[in-house]
Amino acid sequence: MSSVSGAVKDGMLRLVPNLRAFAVSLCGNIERADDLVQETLLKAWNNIDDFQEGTNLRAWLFTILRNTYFSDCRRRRREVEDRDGIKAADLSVHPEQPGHLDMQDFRRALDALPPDQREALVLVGAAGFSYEEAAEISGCAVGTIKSRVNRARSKLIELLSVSPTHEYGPDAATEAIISRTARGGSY
Amino acid sequence: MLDRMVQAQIGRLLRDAFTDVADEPVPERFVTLLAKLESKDKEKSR
Repeated sequence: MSSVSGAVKDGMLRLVPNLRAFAVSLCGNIERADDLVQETLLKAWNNIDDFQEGTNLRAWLFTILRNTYFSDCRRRRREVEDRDGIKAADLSVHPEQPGHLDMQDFRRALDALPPDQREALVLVGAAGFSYEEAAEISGCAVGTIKSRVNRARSKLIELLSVSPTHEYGPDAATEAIISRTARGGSY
Repeated sequence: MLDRMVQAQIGRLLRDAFTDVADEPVPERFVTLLAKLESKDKEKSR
């Protein structure tokens, strides 16, 4: 087994913040994200023979991290399904002002996406990978990545836009009464 | 119209959410971990 060169070790250290950001976007919490990063670094270190120096260390580490995350999910499938059940029940986001989304609304919407769509969107839209690189990292076809990104975008728009049926948010009935009262109705 | 505004904001928020974490310094535990792995390798090659 060859050992990890100083340059690759420095590269790994430099990439830790990026790996953490990716991990948080996958699993949604920083403690689990840090455990994922730790596992990723250990696996990378022990499998350094699989890495060709001079190629894309960032993409290689991202690949290890997402594979670790998704196999972890398969192991805890029941727990994940329960969590998705809760998410599904609380899908709609009601931004306080249409057109002004805050980070909290956004994170909730992002968390509500299916994991594969969220991953594709983050790789391409936030981490700056090309569709080709994202496909390689996720182990799927370029077309699959493109369609996941598109579906993720439309879903987010749907979740974050105030559609006509939600115009008054959860309190439509109250609003209706108030406006009738204000008009001097028969109440 | 609203969709396009939302879409532009989604792009920005997506990058902001990522950068929020990516701009944090490397936590000490990872500096220690990699240093440990490195010194273990050095011991082995001796």
